[in-house]
Amino acid sequence: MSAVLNASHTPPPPAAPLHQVSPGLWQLAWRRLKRDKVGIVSLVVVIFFLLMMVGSYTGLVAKNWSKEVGVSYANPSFMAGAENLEAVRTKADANAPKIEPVDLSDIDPLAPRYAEWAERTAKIKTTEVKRAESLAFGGDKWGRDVLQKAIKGAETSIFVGLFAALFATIIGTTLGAISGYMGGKVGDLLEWFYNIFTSIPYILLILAFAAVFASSPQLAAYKGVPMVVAILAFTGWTGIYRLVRSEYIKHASREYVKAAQAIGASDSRRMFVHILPNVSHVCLVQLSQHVVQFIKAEVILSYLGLGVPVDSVSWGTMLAEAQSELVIGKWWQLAAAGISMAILVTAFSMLTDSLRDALDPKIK
Amino acid sequence: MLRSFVAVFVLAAVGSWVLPAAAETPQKIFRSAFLVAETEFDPAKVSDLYSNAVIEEIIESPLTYDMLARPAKLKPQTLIAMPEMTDGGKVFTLKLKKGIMFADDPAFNGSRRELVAQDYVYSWMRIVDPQLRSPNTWLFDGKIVGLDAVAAEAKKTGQFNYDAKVTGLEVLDANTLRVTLTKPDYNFIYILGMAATSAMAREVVEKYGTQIGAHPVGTGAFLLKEWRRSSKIVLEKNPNFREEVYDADPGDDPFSQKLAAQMKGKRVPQLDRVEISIIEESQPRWLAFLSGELDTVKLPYEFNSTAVPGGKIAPNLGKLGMTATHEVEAATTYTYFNMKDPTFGGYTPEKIALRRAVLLAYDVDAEINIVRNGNAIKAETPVPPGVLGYDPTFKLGQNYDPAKAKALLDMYGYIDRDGDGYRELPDGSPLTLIYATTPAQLDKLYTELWKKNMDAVGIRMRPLIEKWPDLRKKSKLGQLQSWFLSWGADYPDGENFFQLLYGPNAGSSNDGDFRLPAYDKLYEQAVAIPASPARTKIYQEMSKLIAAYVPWKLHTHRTFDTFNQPWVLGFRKHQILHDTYKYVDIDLDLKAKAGH
Repeated sequence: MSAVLNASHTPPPPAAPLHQVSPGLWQLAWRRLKRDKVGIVSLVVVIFFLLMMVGSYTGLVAKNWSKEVGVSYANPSFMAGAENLEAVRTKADANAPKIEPVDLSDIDPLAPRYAEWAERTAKIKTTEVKRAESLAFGGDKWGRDVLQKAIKGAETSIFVGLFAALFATIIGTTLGAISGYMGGKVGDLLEWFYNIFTSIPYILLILAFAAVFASSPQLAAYKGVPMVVAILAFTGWTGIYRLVRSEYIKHASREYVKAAQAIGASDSRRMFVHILPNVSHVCLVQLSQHVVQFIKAEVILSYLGLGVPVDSVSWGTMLAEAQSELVIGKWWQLAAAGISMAILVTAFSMLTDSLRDALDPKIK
Repeated sequence: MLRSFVAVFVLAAVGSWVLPAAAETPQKIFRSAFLVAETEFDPAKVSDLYSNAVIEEIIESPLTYDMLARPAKLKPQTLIAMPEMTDGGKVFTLKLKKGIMFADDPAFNGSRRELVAQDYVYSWMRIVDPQLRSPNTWLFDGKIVGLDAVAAEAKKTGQFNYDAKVTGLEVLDANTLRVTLTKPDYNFIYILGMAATSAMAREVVEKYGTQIGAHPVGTGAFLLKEWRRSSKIVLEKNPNFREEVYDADPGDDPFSQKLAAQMKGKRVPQLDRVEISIIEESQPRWLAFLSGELDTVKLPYEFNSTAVPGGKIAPNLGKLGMTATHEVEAATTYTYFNMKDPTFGGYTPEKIALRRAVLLAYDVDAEINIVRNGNAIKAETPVPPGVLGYDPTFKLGQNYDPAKAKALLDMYGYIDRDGDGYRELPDGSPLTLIYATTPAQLDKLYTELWKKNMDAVGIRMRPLIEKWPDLRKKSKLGQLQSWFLSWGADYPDGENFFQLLYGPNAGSSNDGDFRLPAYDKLYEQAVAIPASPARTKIYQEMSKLIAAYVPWKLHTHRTFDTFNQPWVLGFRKHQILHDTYKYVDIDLDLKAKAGH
């Protein structure tokens, strides 16, 4: 593989010593990446987020995100003393006068067992949680810790974004490679297929897929996150397909591919072993862009009730909630979700930039 | 050439004559906003709030409400006096005022057209015309002697005979109408105050045919000047409107007394023009009000803590002279259970216990404070404040108590058998509460609250997310397990709420198909007697049955704040009537001073 790659740039003399070991593509790429400070920092950030995702999935962090630990819209700890009108109202209501309720026992079918009921009720302990006035990064409407929510939300969002982008890239690259490399009838067929997908507005396409998935009894079991991943992957591959196809058309007639053909490499070997590494930078950049795009698309789906289930949280649902909170001056949920998303997205883009530089054989 | 010259000359002359006059007395324009788009303006065809609000200004029902009296009080609109009730609430005689004129319309061929008793007969026949598929049929269905027969015949022939003589709708002379009911109904009088029973002229309806919804012509204080669907509605003063002087009973409410003083002795309507914009999003609506582009607004609840902190108008808004009034809507929100559902429906103690447990496990206070931002009060009975039959001292005590809910579930064998944290039915089959809801962001909060509360007592809950009209269709077909609904009073009597659970109303307004003989008997007793403490007592007995059998989980009565600009006079949201532009005035000096 490496020999061929080198060949594409500096055609080796026919009598090159065969035993010379040149560093492989990935080794070279890693060397180049290590020299790129921005790339390394971004890599660390992305790994940090991925670890966080794993941690939250396994329950190491943010396990109790759904516990209502603070008052409604608890202030962040750095502005602990600030006025919180929402919580004040909740308290005022608790002091309302109590009027003795009427007796239902004359008409109540459950009346014969009132005594037993009261006895059983007394046995069940209800512990009133003392709610905190302020939380590390504030609380949401229900008094849940926004920071924990953001971590738990990261799990869903990154999972959806990453996997949907991965699947979309795989679909797009495979189809693009076949279409670009084969051309002819196969290429036309795939082009038509592509046109069908792009002729429908993107959001409508997502909704159509979502409706199909939601109404199918076989697929209903996968409702929730796996369904969102599938919907986004099946609708989002078109752009990648088109770019990869054009790259393949370009590369298919290059000398190194012809050379590979000459030494008897099969079509699939030429497509995926020879050409793919040379266009991988395109795929990687697309991958990173789609991660970002799909994190946003998940917001829309969740907003429409087709995304993550109601008892889980994602950055998308947090942003949707923040909409109405912002007008009453509760900015922390938006900040928590927005900042985490911005950091991850920026780091991800810069990392892919660096990766492209490191992987692109044309850049030394 | 000559012709166009003449036209220009005439136009110029007219212009110079009109313009100075307009400059002398600026028009009184009232600008308001709807939250939801109207549908059309045919009283027989609409039942939605916003269309009715416009119809009410243009077309007139026989009765209307006193603008300020609380609780709401009926008064004559096109009648000389309140209908005369004879034969123990079976016969109503309506005497129309003489000389009430319709607004001009090409359908009248240039002549003035007076309102006659036959117009009401014709308009009410339209409501039961099967071809029109009116949503208001229930108003007259089975109530008027002989009317059902005409409707039944129309169903057979496909053509409603508007010339048919209906025994129960007898025109004694041009201005007198005698209505005979099939059985005594003291609440029939309230139907005469609803926009649906307004009088249209037959020639107008026949001229515009299917387009009648865009051409409302009536005897009201305003006429429809301009209509851009779902965007803008402009009303103008009806020059043919009869002479009428503001008259309202403010009672001992200081705010109402202020309004009465502002409007005293004025001829109605005072406004020249009403401009209604449809602004669905709450933020632009509120900002439009703050910038003076709207004269009144119903405060979007998101802005509660900034606009009315602690229940009082914010100092920065109060300084500008704006006024805010806090009112309780004559409406009740509730979740019904489908009595035919195999899991939650039924009248056996186990099923009742299950519904009771759900009732006890749901935290209404959290709904009021957190989801509704404090914009509601807890509902104890189906009857909201300000409606006959409401008693503030009557409490059923069905408060949030998860421990009691758990104990009840344990007691009747709803226990977790497979250790997944959720309970099963006594026979071991799965127990799932299917919560029907829409994709809206606000509804998501309700779903979260339900899910949280149900998880806390171990009842599995699954949301069923669909669009509201689809859910409504399913609900009417009895395909939902339960649903969260709101009912606004059509008239200020508790009966309007209790009929929602009356057995024979199953399939029309009783979506949950609740049929309890004891309840139906009480209901029939209540409607057969006029409003009295004895009837309130029956209403309370019915409320007790609702609390015991839980066909409904009662939630709240919503509250809201109306904000008015300082130059708005006389305006207050009426409990039953919609926007009452007829009784509003604008203080042009104050408005000019404020720089608008």
